[in-house]
Amino acid sequence: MATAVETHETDGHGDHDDWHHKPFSAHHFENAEQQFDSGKLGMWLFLVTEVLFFSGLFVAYAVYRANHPEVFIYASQYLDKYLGGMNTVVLIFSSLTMAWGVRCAQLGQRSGLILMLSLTLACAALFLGVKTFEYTEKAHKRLLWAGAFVNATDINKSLGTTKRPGNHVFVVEKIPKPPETFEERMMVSLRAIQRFWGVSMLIPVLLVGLGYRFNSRPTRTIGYAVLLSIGAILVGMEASIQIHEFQHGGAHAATGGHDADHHEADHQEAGHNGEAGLPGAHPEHSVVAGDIVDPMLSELTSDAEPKDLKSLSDRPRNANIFFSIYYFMTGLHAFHIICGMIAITWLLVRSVEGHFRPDYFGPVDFVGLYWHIVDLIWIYLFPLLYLIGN
Amino acid sequence: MSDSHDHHGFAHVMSPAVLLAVFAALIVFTVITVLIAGSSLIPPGFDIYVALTIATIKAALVVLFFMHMIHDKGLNAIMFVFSLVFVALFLGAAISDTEQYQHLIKDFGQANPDSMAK
Repeated sequence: MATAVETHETDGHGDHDDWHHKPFSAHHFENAEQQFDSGKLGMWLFLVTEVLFFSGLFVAYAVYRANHPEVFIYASQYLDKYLGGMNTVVLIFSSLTMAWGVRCAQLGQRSGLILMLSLTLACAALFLGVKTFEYTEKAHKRLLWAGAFVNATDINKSLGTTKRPGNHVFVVEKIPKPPETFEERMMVSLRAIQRFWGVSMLIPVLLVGLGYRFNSRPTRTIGYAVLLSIGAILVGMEASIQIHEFQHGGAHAATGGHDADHHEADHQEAGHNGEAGLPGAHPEHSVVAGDIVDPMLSELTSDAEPKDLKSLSDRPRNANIFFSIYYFMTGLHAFHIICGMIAITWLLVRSVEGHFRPDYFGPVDFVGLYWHIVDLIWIYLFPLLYLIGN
Repeated sequence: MSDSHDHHGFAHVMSPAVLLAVFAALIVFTVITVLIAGSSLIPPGFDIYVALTIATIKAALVVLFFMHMIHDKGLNAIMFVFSLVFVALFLGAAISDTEQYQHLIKDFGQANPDSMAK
C-alpha cells in the first residue's frame, strides 16, 4: 500500500505536486482538472434527479390539463402575467450574474465574484418578494388549493361578524359591510408581512455586530448577505404593490372608495332581489355581495354575479385543482430558490475569504449549474401557468 | 475578449459578449411570449405550442451557454439529454394512459348525472 502511494506520487506528477499542497485540493485526485470534472459530473447527476422529480409535477399538470382544459383557461385569469413576466426577467438577470460570477471565479477576480454573487442573491430575494405579494393576493381572494376552501363561517369570522351563515348563502341581518375593501384588507396583510421582515432585519444586524465584536469575517458576511436578502424581499413586495396599484388604481379612483363600494353592493343587491330571487335567502336579509364574492366561492358567499369577472356561469368543476398544481409547482420552485440563496450565501462567505482561484472554482460553477436549472424550471412554469390563452 | 484563450484554465471561460447576447435573447423571447399570449395572431388551441416552443428555445440558450454545455464534456451532456428522454417517456405514457379511461368516466357521468354535476 505504502509503496503504491509512493510510486504514484513520484510517477510523473512532479509538476502538479504544488497543486496537492494548496488548500481545498483533495489528495485522491490527480490534478485540479480531475477534481473539477468529478464534482461537475456529480452536480449534473443531481440536476438529472431534479429534472426527473420535477417532471412528476409537470406530468400531473399535463394530465389534468389534457383532460380538463376549461379549468386552466378559467383559473389562469387570476394570475397576473405582468408580475410573472417581471419575475421571469429578474430570474434571467440573476442567471446572467451567476454565469458572470463563474467567469470571475475562473479568472480569479475576487471583487467581481463578490459583486456578481451579491446581485444574484438580491435577484433571488426580489423574486421571492414578488411571490409573497402574489400568494397574499390569492389568499385574500380565497384562491387556494383544492380542499382549502373556506366555508362561510370562516369568512364571517374573518370579517368580524359572528352570525351563522345561511345554507350556502352568506346571509347577514343588515350588518354593515366590513369597512375595508378587498384592496385594503390585502394591504393590511402585506404591511404586516413587511413589518415582520423589517423587524427580522435585527437578526442580520446582530450578526454583523457579533462579527465585528469577535472579529469574525464569515459572520459579518452572512449578516450582510441576510440583510441584502431581506432588503430585496421588501423591495420586491413594494414593487409588486406599486405595479398592482398602477394596474387597478385607475378603476378604484373612479369609483371613489368606500361609499361607491357600498353603493355597488346595494346596487347588486337590488338587481339581485329584482331578479329571480335567491334560493334559500330570506327576503328580510341582505346578501353581502360586494368584493368578498369570488366566482370560485360564489356558492358559499352569494349567488350574486360579480360584474367584472367574466365566467361565473361557466365556472368549471374542481377549478381549485389548478391552484393545487399552481401552489405545489411554484412553492417547490420557491423552495429551490431558498436553497439556492443559502448556497449563494455560502459562496459569498468563501469568496470573501478568498478561497477561490483559477484552479479551484468548482463550488461556484456547481452552484451556478443548480441556479440555472432553477431558472430553467421557471422558464417552463411561467408560460404553463401564467400564459394560458384562449 | 481574448482571455478565453490565453487563460491556462481547464474549463472554458465565457466571454462577456456571449453572456450579454444570450441574456438579451432571453429577454427578447420573454417579452415576445408575454405579448403574443392570448393575442388573435395565434389560432385557437395553438397558444400552448407557441409558448412551449419559445420556452424550449430559452431553455436551450440557458443550458448551452449559461450552463456551458456547449463546451462541456460529452458525458455530462449525454446524461442530461437522457433525463429529458425519460421525462418524455414518462409524459407520453401518462398522457396516453389517462386517455384510455376517458370513455369510462363519460359513461359513468351519463349513468350518474348527479355525481358529475357542477
